[in-house]
Amino acid sequence: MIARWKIGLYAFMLLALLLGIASEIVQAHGGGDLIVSKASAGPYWVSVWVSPAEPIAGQEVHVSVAVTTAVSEQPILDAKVQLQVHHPETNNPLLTRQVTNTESTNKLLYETDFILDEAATYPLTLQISATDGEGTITFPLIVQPPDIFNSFLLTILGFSLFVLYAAYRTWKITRDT
Amino acid sequence: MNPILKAALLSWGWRIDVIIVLALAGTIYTRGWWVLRRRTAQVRNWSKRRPGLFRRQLAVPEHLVLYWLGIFFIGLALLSPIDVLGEQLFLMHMVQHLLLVMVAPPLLLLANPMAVMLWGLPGKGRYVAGGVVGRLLHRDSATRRRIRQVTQPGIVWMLWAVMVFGWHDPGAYNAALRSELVHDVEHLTFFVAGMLFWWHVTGAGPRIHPGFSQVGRIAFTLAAIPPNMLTGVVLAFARAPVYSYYESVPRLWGISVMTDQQLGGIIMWIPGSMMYLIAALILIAGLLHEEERKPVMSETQWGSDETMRAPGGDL
Repeated sequence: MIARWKIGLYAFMLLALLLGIASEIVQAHGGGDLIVSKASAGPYWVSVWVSPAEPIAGQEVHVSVAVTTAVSEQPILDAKVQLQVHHPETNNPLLTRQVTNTESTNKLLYETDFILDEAATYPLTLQISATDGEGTITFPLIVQPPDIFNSFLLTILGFSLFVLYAAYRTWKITRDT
Repeated sequence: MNPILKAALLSWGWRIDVIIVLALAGTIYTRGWWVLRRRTAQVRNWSKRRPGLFRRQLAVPEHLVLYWLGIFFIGLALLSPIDVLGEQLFLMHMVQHLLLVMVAPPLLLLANPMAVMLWGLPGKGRYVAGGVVGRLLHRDSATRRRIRQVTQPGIVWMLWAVMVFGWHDPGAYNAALRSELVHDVEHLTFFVAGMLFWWHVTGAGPRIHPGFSQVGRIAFTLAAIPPNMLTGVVLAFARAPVYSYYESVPRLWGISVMTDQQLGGIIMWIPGSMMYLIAALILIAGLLHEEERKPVMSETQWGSDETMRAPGGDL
């Protein structure tokens, strides 16, 4: 009987670990929600993905950028990409990040992470510089206030209830037989 | 080397959740295979005095190779540039689905994983898991009857067809590309449907569908071709892009959205259908081999008056 509980506990811990890791991976895998699609920035086309789809204040935002030639749409891999986040009201630069492809999962994309502490609509500027010249685009990033319910904790709670119910049923069946 | 190709080949998504699951499954199977092999050797030594009593090898090297090949192809589909580039090229995504549905499941199932993996569990875990599986799949168990009912070949075929048509619906497909979670659900459901489908084709354990004949298996395998082929043909001959997502992402190597879609449709149509055809041919060869192994009837037997009499001849 104890062994069954132990196995259930181990299975639960393993699944919780996998769920936790999986939720982290969703942010680190690149991609995400496409918020800028093939916008013209000088001689380039720029696409931007953001993950999570609705960034939350105080939580990490992952931004992936694709830079391609405007003519043939071939990815440009040696561009210098700089991201600036501006204050929603004063428009002063809040933070600056170099967006690189050295650490990115998809080496054809440039990626960076940052955290914004307050919920607001921030203007973001991307400056691209490569052999064909320079280009800039500006786009808004909407950051939502923190959730009252943490979806990850709710999943864990739901799964715990399921495991407890399954264990109770197993115990009841064993007792009755 | 072309820098774009080099960057693409270096784009590996080392997902630790996938690595943990694959490593765990591989370790348990390998341990089970090793335990079974050692036990078989012990029993063989014991039965040496009675030749012919125990000739069957339970853990053959081919099983281990097949299982690890299955694990390798899942890893290739989910961790390699095939996965990363699948977000930019439809044809890569189709190659990924092909590996997850048509290549990895038959390889895993041909290795008879259930029994071997039970042997791979440590000590008490094996007894508990074996006990639970034994109770659930016992001949008189209601659970076994329910599992048998919901996994009948007809239902599995319908589930398979729903998966193929459903996930290629533009809404579902675009949602899978936009959300990593939906994408994972897509792959998981494809893999589960693939495992259920190939479970019937390979006849791997647990064998709870005793009435499913070899001819039935051949027909079942061939029945998978139409949904797959139909989807592939529709995509290959579509005159406009079906999946809007690919219109918004940068193109690689000058492959336009339409060419990409046509190539993806062709991959699904031709190599996809070929996989089932090959499986059906292997089953037919097995059937013919079984017929050949049957003892030859002597001329006196087949030429007797009793055998030669036409049905209803006595009337």
